[in-house]
Amino acid sequence: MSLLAVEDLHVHFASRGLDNQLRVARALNGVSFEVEEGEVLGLVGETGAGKSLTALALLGLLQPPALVAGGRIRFEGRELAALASGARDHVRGTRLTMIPQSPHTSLDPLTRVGDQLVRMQREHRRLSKAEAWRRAGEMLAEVRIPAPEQRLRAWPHELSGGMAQRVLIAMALVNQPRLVIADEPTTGLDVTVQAEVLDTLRELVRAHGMSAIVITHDLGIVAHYCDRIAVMFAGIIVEQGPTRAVFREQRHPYTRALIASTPKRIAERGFAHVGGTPPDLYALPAGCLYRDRCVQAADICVQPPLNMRFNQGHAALCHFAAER
Amino acid sequence: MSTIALPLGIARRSPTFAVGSAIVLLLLLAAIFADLIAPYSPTLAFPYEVLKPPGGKFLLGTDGNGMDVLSRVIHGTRYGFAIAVPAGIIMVLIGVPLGVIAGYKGGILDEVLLRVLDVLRAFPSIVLALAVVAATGASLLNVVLVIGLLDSPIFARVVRAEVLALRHSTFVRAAVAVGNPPWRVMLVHILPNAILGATAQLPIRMAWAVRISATLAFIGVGIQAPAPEWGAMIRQGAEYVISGEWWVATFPGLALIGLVLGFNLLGDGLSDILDPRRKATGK
Amino acid sequence: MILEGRNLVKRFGNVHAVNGVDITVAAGEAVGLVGESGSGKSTIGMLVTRLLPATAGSIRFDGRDITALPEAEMRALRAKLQIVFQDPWGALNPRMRISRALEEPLLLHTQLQASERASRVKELAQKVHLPPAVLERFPNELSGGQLQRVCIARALATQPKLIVLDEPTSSLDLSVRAGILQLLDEIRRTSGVAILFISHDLDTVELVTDRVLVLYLGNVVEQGATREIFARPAHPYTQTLLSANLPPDPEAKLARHPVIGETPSPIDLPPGCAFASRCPVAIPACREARPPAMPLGEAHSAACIRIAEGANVLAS
Repeated sequence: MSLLAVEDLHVHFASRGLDNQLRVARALNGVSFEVEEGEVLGLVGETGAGKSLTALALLGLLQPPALVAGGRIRFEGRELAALASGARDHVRGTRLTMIPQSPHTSLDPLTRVGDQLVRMQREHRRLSKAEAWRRAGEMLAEVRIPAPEQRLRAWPHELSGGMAQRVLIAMALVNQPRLVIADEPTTGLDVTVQAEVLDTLRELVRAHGMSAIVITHDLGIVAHYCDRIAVMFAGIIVEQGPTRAVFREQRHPYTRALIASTPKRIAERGFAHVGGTPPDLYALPAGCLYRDRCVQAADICVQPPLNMRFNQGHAALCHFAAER
Repeated sequence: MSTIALPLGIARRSPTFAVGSAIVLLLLLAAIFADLIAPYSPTLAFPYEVLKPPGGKFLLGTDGNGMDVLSRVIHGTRYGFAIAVPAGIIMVLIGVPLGVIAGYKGGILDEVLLRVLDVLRAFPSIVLALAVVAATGASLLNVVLVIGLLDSPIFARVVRAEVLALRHSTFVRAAVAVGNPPWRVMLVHILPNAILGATAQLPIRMAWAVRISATLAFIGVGIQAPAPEWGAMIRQGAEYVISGEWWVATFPGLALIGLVLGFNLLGDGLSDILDPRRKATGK
Repeated sequence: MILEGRNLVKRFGNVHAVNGVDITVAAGEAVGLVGESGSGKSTIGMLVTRLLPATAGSIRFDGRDITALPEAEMRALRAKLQIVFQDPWGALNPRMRISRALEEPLLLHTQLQASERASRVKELAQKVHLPPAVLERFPNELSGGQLQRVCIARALATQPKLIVLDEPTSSLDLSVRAGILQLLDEIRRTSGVAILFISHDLDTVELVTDRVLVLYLGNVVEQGATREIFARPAHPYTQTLLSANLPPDPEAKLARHPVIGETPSPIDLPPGCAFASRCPVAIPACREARPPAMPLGEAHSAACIRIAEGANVLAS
């Protein structure tokens, strides 16, 4: 059984405009995927595709006006929505954690790094202060922060961007979760620093046998750090599968367009015709959501496409996935 | 969007704005149609009906001259708006250009503006207004001019703050890069974007103008009785409060509170509606 | 040379943003400025467009010294020297319709009649593939990609000789970015305008530019033909930077060079090579004096003293 199984997840936003009319944005429209033990899944997509929203829904952190309108999330065999809020908090702090984006706004500016790590542990586990402090030091060493004992006493503002990001990784991993969700873990970091931070994250995930979901818009990160890839468009996963298989052969035209849009591919093969605006979440069409932008669109695309499955769990939501 | 839906939506977003604008609108109507609504002329004295309590022929009673309080209160709204509107116009005409230039250009003008603001902060403005009106004479025009001029720097400060925030924005930099001369950057690019935030301040400053003008009249340097100005009426009625004729001062006082409150609510509501952060989250 | 910056220096208080940079752009050439945060690349863009005054150095544009040109004369010149900013959402006046934003440069720099301007605006929109309906909208009604097309059209309106593009695609989504890159490619081929392309994204710079300057802490550490630099990076920093790049291809072999720490703050820079504190092959001499540019071939040079002994190449 998978560590995490998300089934047909729907999230809606309800809001009122200046004209007092209720408007509903269908932000997630049936997201389904699984994460196996020890696997790193890359969740990619463009702005508004619903990547971060999926993460928030998994963590149970959606705030009104966003609401879960349907679907199931099973983690370690348990239905998350069925848990009482206390039990859910416990799962969120110890079994399923998150590395947020923007390191400097995610750390408490008025608490020393070590104390934040201690607090993180003692909120969820019975542990003496001294023990938690010792473990905090070990954790900083694990995320490759030089002179960890001294850094425990550092204030967040004394840390560079890369160091702060490493501290956030330490915070997410200190309670030894089974699954960690990294939301754009390296945006804002320099290229040279980004690679090192990702290396550290991957090593730790492997060493502790954890699973991870890496949310990113950077296909380079997915290509080199993720075992599997799930591509989101307009609140659904249009294609997923083993990273190598998907990069070798794209079954969904959106994935194909996305990969063809990378400057590297453009340099090799020239400009492909891509682009177009994402669909209006307030008025989604019936049938395939990608059809207005799709170069392959045909009459059949007004019918909702089935999820076509191929080898090794490679699947795509397209009428033409089996062709070509 | 239907014609009724938009006001409803705005009212829902900011009830403050809805209540404030309703009060101001009501009083504005009273000012415009005062001659039709008021039962008597505001300065018509009934020599045998002095200090009549509310009721009967005089709904809100009569004052020490035998004039109908209700008619005087209604006509008083005219003074309220006659002060607030022109004073507001003066504030905009002087304060906005001053604020934009000081905020964008900085330099000496900005220094002077800041020093003037320091002075205004140090002195209670009522004392300044009092001194100037006492020196120049208490006509309506003088009162309006003094209040408008005194408040312009404060209005300028609001505009200046908006401009300072805009000065380093990318689109202003882009406007310079495209080759706009400074006057065009200020007039075409900064002003339309700065003015919105300042708009919310205008009703609040107008409330201040009404209050100051009433205070001046109350002290006795502003507009004088028998003109139906609320401050003057309150001054006149104050002496009767002790002897039990409470209505002479109370009703103009309530009207004054109403108009000041209306303007303030209007301003607060406007800033709620115009606040970009709320707009962003509402999207 | 359309643009010639000599020994450009910019300080903000004690922050040394740009420390003696020479930069040239030939007519019709696309030059890339690459660097990470704190490299001074955006500041250089602001200096050469005279949106910021340089602390020292000189700038020549189209044969004229514009270093200290009075602002009024500079304004007339801006028709030929344009800039496009990173953030398309903030780069347009929110209260101005797109048509007016596009008309503005024509109003400022040409004697065209209103009707001629209107038809030029339509042509511009067409040139950047914007549907005509967009012209009557306000910026908040457009997508990021459309806004950036508007900004590019606005920069093109007065037929400039040089456009500085400051990270024009970094805040855009991948597929939108590709459209903008395609547009830039088209514009270069049809108009022959020179481009100064500022970016931290190596793949994009490789795609767009002919020649590239690699910046580190306000210094040019290496420059040369784009192809040459990406194939044979000589400066240890350039090697590190390129090795950290993640190509969107799981089969591509990565040869990562480890780096020490992060970019130090540009306050009170030490003498000597700015990269010495992080460089795996630094020797004491690196910290003593600023390294001169060592020629490596035709128009390719790198500021590293270890090149002379062949010790500049990093092991992976």
